[in-house]
Amino acid sequence: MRNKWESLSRLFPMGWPWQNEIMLTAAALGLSALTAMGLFLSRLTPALNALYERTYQDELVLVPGRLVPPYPQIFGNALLGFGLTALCLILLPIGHFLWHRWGARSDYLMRRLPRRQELAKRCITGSALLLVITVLMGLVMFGLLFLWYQAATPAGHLPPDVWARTGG
Amino acid sequence: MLELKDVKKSYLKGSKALDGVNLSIGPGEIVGLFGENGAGKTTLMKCILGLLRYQGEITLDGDPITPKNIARLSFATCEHSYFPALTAGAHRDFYQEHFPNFRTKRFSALMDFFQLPRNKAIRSFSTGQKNQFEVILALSQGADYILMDEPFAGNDIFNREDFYKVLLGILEPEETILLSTHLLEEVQHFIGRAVLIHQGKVAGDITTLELEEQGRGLMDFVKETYQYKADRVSRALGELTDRE
Repeated sequence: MRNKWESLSRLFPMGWPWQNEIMLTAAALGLSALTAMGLFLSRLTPALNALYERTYQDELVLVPGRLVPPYPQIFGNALLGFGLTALCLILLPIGHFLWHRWGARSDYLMRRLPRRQELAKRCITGSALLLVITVLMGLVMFGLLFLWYQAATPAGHLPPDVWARTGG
Repeated sequence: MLELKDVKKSYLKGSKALDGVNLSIGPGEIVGLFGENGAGKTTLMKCILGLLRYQGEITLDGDPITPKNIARLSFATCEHSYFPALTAGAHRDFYQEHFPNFRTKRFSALMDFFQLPRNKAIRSFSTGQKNQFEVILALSQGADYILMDEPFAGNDIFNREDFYKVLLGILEPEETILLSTHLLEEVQHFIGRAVLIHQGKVAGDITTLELEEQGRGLMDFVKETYQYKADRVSRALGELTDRE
């Protein structure tokens, strides 16, 4: 397991604090997931509350015919954190390349290796892998929150087209 | 044989760094590359290594320099090309992985000789140690042609003397050195041939044996080639101080 973990270093520039990059990305993804839930709930909760009305007996009752807005409207910009994380990961290869010019010109060595693609591989692969994980996590989050949206909405109060971009 | 035919290099501003360089360096030669700052020495080396684009032809035993034969060239530069955050041991592992002819025994011997720490990041080394390490890597890569671009800048005289002696002691007959330096007098007994670059052209090319036969020193040859005016300093000082 330790060897597999260490072999990840081959996907990043030599000497680059790749463990920190992975840890920071993991933290960013965790924060993005929490942000996504927070943003999602901040829209879903009022939408669900709007389905109810308080009677004279101070009881909450569902109002027939009232519908929650479609999912895209509730979801909104919940993936904002994932988007920002992805943007950083897209830009990170530039940092990886500049790392080879920090303190010395190790890019000279990398560019004269018999494996000519080694420099590009080490600048791009690690970030690309983390970017794929970010996108996948964003999609999983999108799916999980959809399940939550469906489960939390009382039967008969979902819109006919839950994927409609407007309406409700 | 490393051959350069009509090698030209211009930079974006239009200045010609190399202007039709023709040069052949055979196996086992120790060649000093001399020239004023901006003459084109570094550019020439970078073109050989494929670090810069150029016009003309550079071949190694008749073949263009590609990833297939690039391992036959090594490079020690005063800009340094190691990984500052890594230890010497990590560099050894990296070189072993990428250069099949890496000379592990030579690496260890040179590390011991210069008493360089193996488990400290190179960025914590002194300037002299960094230079030594850069040269050790170039010498240990297992290359046939070792290019050195002012590798001793910042090293003290004792250190440099040690290095010349070690170099002469460890080099195998087929190993070739192309050494760019300003330290003419220091290296004149170490090199076998001197190539002078001036304004991007080869201005002089002579073996030290020829110099000896002519009874001239390397410095004399350089001054003659560059048409150095010995009185230029006194004239300049005279003008500056308004003396006749």
